Amino acid sequence: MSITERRILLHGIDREDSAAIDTYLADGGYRALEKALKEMQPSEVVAEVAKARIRGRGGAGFEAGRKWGFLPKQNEKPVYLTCNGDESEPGTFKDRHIMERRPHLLLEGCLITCYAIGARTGYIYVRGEFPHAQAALEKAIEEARERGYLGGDILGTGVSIDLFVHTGAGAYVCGEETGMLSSIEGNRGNPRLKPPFPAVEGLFRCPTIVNNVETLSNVPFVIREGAEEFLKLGTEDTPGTRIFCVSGHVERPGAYEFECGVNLKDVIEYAGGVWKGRKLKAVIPGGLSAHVLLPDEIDVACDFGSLARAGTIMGSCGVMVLDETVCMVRALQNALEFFSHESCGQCTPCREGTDWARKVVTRIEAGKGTEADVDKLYEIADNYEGMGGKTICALADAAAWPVKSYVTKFREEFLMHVRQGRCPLGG
Amino acid sequence: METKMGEANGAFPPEHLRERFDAIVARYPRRTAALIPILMAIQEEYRHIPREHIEGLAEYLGCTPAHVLGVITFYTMLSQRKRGRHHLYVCKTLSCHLRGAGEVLRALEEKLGIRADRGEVTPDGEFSLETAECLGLCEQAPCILADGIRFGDVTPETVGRIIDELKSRGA
Repeated sequence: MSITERRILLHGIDREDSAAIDTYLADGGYRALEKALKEMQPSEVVAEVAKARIRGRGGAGFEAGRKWGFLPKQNEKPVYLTCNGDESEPGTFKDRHIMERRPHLLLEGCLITCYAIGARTGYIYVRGEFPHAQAALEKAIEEARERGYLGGDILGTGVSIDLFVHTGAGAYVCGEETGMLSSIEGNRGNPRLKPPFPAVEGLFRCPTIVNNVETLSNVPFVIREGAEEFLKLGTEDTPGTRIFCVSGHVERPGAYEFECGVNLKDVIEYAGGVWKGRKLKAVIPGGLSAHVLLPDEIDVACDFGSLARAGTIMGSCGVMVLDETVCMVRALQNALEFFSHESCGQCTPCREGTDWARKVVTRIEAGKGTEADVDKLYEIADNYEGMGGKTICALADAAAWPVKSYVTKFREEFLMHVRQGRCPLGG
Repeated sequence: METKMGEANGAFPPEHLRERFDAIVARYPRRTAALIPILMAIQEEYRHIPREHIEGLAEYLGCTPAHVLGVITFYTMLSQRKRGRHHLYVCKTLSCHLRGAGEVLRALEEKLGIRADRGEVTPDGEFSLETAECLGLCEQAPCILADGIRFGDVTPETVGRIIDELKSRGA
C-alpha cells in the first residue's frame, strides 16, 4: 500500500529558511505559547497534554502529561525542565532534524512545558556530536528573546522563562534521563538509582521533568489545536505522528513523518525499499537496542503496543534495514562493540557482561567459536538483562535484546560460523 | 618562555576565554554544572585538555582536580592527548557499517598513514583519526564529522577530497 507522510513536526523542513523565526511565526508559531500564557492556567495546560496522551518519543513511551503529574504538590524548591536531545540511540536522527530545521517548534514546546510545570529555567541537553543543532538552537533562543517569547516577562504576561543549551561530550548513557542529569550537573554521566524519580528529586536535587525533543515538539500542536485534534492522529495506543528514521540498506534513507500505526513494511517501501534489488534479511525497528524482526514479521502496525506484541519495541523509531548480504554475527559484534563501549561501568552485570558477550561473539565471528559459545552468548545476555533489577539503568536491557533475538532467530547462521570455522557469507 | 596565542600557560581562565566562561557559569545555580561545556570549549581551543589547566579549572568552578579528571576520562570527545589540527570522527556503528564505514576508515588510514585505534596524529600535526559510535547522521551513512563539518555518503574514493577540503579551510 502506498502511504503519505503527515508532516506536523517536520512541517516545511524542505524550505531553506525553515529554522528562521519569521518562517515559524508565519506558520502560526508561538500562538500556542500565547494561548497558554494568556488564556490557560498551568494546571489546564497539564490537563490538556495529559488528555492528548503524548507517549514519550525518546523510546520508553511513557505519557508526558502523566509524568508532569508526578511533580510534588507541596514544593518550595525551583522546578526544572530538561529536554533530552542526546539522541544517541544508533539509527536515530529525528531529534536532530527538529533541532536543526525547526528549532522554534522545540523552544515553543519547552516554553509551554515550563509554564505548565512551573519551571523558571529549562536546559536543552544536546549531544556534543551535534554542533549544528546546538548552533541552530542558540540562534533560535536569541531570536525568541529579541521578540519577547523567551526571557523576562514573556509577552507582557509577567511569566519569565529562560532556556539554555547544554552540550554533551560523547556518551550514549547520557541519553538515560538520570545520566543526563548527572552530566548537566558537571559529573560523569552515571545514571542514578530510582526512586527518587527526577520529578521528585532531579537536577540539583530539585523536582525536574525530563522529556525528549520530539515529545516536547508535540506540545504546541496539542495546545493550539486541542487534545481532541491530536487524538485524531495515529492510533488509540499511540496518538499522533512519529518521525521514522530509516537507514541501512534502503534506496532512500531519511527521516519520514507518519501517523502512528503506519505499517512497517510500507515505511520501508516509502524509503525506496531494499536497495540494489536485493532481498530483505532483517529489520531492526526501534534503534539498535530493538529485537530484530524477520522479513515475515514486518507486516506490523508501528505503535508502541503493536510492536511490543510483535516481540520488539517501537523505541526511538530508528528503522535499520539489513539486506541478504549481511552477516548477522558481524552485525551483533558491531552492536556489542557499541554497548560494551558505552556501558558506564557502575554495575557489574552490564560492565562485565557486555564485554564478555562482545568477546564471545568476536570469537564466533572469527570462526574460532564452539557450539557451546552460541548458547553461552545467549546465557550471558540473559544474565545481564536487568529487568529483574540487576542494574541501575536500562542500558543492560538494551544490550541484551539484540543478542537474544539475533541468536534465537539466526541460530543456524551462528552455528555455521562455528562448523565452517569462517563466515559462511564470505564476510 | 614565550607563550603563543592559543597555547596554554596555566592561568585560568585564559584571558581571551574569561568572558565566555563566566557567561557559561552564569547559566547554572551551581558553578560545577559549567564543567562539561567549558571542557568542550577548552578542547576546541587547544585540541586537548592541557594538564596545566586542570587545577585552575577546578579552582575556578569549586571542585577538585580529581573530579575534573574523572569527567575528562568519561567522555569520548575530551582528550588529554593533543589531537591533530583536523580531527576526524569516523562513524563505525551499524547503519554506517552496513554501508561501508570499514572501507572508508581503511582508506583514510592508508591515505594519512595513521591508525585510528592508536590515536595517532600525522607527523606534521595536521590530522588525527578516531572511530566514533553513532554520530546520528545515519541517513547519510557512512559519515564523518570533522572540524564541526559533516561529510555524508562517504566512499573510499571521496576521502581524498575531504582531506583536501579540511586542509584548504585551515585550522
